[in-house]
Amino acid sequence: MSIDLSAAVSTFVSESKELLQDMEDGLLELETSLIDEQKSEVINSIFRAIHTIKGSAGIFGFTRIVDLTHLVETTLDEIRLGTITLDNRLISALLSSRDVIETLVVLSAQESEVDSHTKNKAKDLAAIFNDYLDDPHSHAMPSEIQPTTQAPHNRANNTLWHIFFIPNENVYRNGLDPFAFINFLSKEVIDLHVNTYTKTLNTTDMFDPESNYLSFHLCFASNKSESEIADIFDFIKTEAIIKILAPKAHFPDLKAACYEFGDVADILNMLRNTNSIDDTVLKAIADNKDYIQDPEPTQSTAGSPSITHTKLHQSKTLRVEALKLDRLIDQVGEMVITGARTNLLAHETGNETLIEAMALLERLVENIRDSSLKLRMVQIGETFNKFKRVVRDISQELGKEVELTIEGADTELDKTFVEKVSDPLMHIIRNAIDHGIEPPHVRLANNKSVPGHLKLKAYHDSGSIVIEISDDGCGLDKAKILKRATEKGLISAEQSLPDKEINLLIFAPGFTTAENITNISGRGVGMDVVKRNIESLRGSVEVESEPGVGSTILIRLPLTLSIIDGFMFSVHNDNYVIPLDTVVECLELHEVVAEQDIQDKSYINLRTEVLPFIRLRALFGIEERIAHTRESLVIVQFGTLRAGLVVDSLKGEFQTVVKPLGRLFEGLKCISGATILGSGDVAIILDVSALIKSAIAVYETLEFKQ
Amino acid sequence: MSKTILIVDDSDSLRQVVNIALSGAGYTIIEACDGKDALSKLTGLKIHLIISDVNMPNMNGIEFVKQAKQIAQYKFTPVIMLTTENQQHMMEEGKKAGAKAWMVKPFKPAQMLQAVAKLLSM
Repeated sequence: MSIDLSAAVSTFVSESKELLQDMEDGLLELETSLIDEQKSEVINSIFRAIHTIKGSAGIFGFTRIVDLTHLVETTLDEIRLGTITLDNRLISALLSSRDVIETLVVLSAQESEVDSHTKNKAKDLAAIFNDYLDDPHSHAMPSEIQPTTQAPHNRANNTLWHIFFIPNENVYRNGLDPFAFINFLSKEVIDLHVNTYTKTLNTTDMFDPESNYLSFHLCFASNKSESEIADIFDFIKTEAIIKILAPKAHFPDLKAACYEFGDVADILNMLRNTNSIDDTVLKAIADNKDYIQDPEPTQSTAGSPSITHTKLHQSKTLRVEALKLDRLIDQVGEMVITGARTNLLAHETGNETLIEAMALLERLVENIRDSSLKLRMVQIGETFNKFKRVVRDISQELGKEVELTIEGADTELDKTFVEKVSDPLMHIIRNAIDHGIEPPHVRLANNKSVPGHLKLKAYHDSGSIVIEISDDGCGLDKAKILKRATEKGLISAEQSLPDKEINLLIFAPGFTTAENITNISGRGVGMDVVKRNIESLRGSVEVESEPGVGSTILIRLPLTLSIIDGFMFSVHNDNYVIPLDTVVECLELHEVVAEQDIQDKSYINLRTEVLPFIRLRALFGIEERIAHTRESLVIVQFGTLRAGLVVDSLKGEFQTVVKPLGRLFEGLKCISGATILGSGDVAIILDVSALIKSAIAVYETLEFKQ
Repeated sequence: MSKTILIVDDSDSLRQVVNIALSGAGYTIIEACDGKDALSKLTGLKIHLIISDVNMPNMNGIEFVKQAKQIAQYKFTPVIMLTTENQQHMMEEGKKAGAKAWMVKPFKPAQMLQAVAKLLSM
């Protein structure tokens, strides 16, 4: 009977990934100081995660995963029992086993071959775990007293090899002859015994001459390694169940293999005859029930203690394909545009009831827009948590101690950002640990705590999301940056730059001050990519740094990408939109300042404050002047920067569905997209951050030259 | 009428495999992700067989079976418990709680079918 399990396999993949993430979180938690009770709880849940993966992998026949997870599980079990102490090396091994298992899960699901790199890694890990399992005490901390009761029969004392070899029904049809393998084996090993079973052939009328009904138990002596023996069966392994038990096999393995094979009594007899296993082990194997226990009505007995379970986290979530969400948001966008158009038409009719109904509809559309946009919002915590592992690995590699704190993990941002911001964050964190945080001896010499501190923080700030990465390291070395930048020809030697801009030089392409190129960073690729990536999300990067105290990198991102609350105004009969969140206030230009005061000037004296401004007519190169237009001043803010925009007239708030512009417009500064109005006209969406920057740039060049 | 089987396991993929195998053989399947969830589904439904994992969050399989057996309607509903080879003591507890049979994970879907057929024919 063939059952199509492909759907279940994909469930298995996502389930395993989730469980492995739980495992990683748990392991990292174990590294922090926990009280014993919490520790055992965490170990329990890690155990359960691995256990579940092993169980499911077994059902799909992913033997590589079963083999590795089995070892991990056994190790965890021993940790639970206290026979093995969880030390740093073991945590590292468990963490890398998590990675290998994930790779194996993905590869198995794709039915692709496992590459040799992963195979070797799995082998190395198996060696480490076996090392621990063989001699738990050699790794234990000497100060801790270990319970002396080691699991009594965890290892069988068989002196011979045992192989349970069960070719499947189709083995002959697929052109493989099991006997060829047995023949080959007989030449390679000493004293081979073969027991043949015909258990799977139940009735003769079902007999199919092309099918295989035989299974074998092979018993022999050999001083080959387990992998050498396994290699003999390499070609048939996809067509058969092969359990290889080396001398001194792991007891549960042996037992499981016996039961999987089926006829336990026969096997026990045979094992007894070969004299390779002593009686206590045989008894332990025999002391088991069959898969199906004989029917025997038993009633529950009350009073046995119930076992409480904790899972690391349990979220009631629904997995939805990202594409479906994108389509929904697209459609909501269309609905918003059509709604605006219908609204316009309703107003044209002047029909009061229609207008009222439209207003209600508009409100509903707005609600739908908000809730569907929220669907795309995810908490940044998950992304932040990923870096716990990164920080741990990098700091260990560099021999530094780093403590990571996370703040604002529940801050929500668009899924698209989460995906795109993860790589830049990785680069920044690597750089912070590599260049920012000093080695322990330097920190001690500078009167700082030995472990360096790295903080990831996320919060909302006036319509944008800010992600802060701060460290308490040595700060940016301005002299070094300037020297390197001059060498690289990024700036000329006589140029004098404000601190902020010096700091931003670290984002210039090809820039690095690291003298030694390390594995982690120093090749000068990355930071410029960071800046480019973030700017492609309409975000910005700022750097603050104080020598000897530390540096902070601020990433500012807009809230959403697709539908925003916009503010519309017109310049020379064309409509333009900016995000409403960036608008601080709107004023009549002539009420604030007289025209002659701002002639040829680049700033306005607004309530005794200097406000750089930009005339959009001038920016867009519209020469024609309309004297009677009473121009308006829109004051906008992005981050800490402010500027004024002089426009012809204000149109007010407007729900804006952001449509990306084609590649033709890619090079254009100050323009970030377009939108369609209710009337069917197109309005350009302006990039406020770029506008402000250009206003300030003009102001600075004009005012400081004089 | 096809027979109804309740499968309780915290692994989505395992439930899916069992579901595919058993519904392919004509059984009606109800899934639950842990003991609590399973109990909430035992509300008057005619269920012919329960397959339950032992190690689950919220409420484990043993506790679930015990409580299920308290409900008059399900007192004699046969239960298959799913365990792993290193949970021998669990088998004893499961038996006490009223499980009729157990299967050791990992099992082949075909083995599961055999076991189900055997129990339901009794």
